[in-house]
Amino acid sequence: MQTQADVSLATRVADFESEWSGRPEQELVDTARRGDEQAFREIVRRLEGRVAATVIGMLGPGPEADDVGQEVFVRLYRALPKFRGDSTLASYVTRIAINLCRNEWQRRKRRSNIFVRDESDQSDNVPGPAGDADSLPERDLIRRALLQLAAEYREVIVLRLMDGFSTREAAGILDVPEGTVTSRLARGQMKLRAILEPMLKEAS
Amino acid sequence: MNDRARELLYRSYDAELSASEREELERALSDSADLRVEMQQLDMMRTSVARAAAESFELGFAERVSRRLANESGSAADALYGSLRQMFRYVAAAAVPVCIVLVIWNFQIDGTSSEAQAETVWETPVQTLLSNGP
Repeated sequence: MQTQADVSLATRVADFESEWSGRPEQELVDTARRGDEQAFREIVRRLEGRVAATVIGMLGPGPEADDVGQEVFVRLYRALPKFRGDSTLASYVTRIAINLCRNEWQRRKRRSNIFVRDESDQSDNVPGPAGDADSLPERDLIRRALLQLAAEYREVIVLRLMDGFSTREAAGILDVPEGTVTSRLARGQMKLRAILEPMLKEAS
Repeated sequence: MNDRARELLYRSYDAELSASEREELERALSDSADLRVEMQQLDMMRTSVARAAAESFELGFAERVSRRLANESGSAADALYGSLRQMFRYVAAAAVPVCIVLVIWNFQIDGTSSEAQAETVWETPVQTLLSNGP
């Protein structure tokens, strides 16, 4: 049963959300730059989904992804005074996310080179035959398949298909020509389709 | 199914094909059942990947970000205090020899003036005596 305190808290949260949710992005940025915590919280609220799609798409779910996600917003907070508005805040924060994911990926590779993997550990392998695929939800299959791709292919697929950026926007975020993004997308999707073929054949 | 047709198929989703490339792809699709199957699978895959996108982190993410920022500003204040203390030590260490030099220099200046005064004090009566004679 809801207590009066619960109702009061819910009201305060709702008031906060209604106060900030309609504010334009630039106003939020300007206010957050002056140290306003509420404004920055609203920025975090608005961008959490986008950052989660990028970071979890790149690294898979788990506490490390959460840690990287938090660091993205800490870096954004520090970088706000330098943010000139040349790109959207979404593109800007995604660029930070991609860079931090690259660092985390390198760290994982170094760690995996130190420790010899147990031959019986199949946790990083995507299930091959359709029978194995039945045991995992589609979302988990897709995420694990993405982790099997080289980082350059995974980045463009995450940006384009998960984050919903256009090819041009993805090129801006990655600071590469559009043609490079297009060819990486084509090759990356060919490889991804090959990995997921059992699941796709069963679905069709 | 040729590689060129596959390449055009995949490119068509994310880039603008020229008119001739579009014609080439349409011809290839009408000629090849395998290419049509691949296109269907590509459609399904792209939809599935988009659906697999995470929508948020675990509950309480914004609070974790706020706490992390608060911890970082506390650490930043401690680091600043430490740096200022360290700077003060360097300044103090540099000031000691400077003070010593100043004291010595000042003593030398004062000492020199006293001697000069003393010479003047003694010279005058002697000179007077000598010039006046017995």
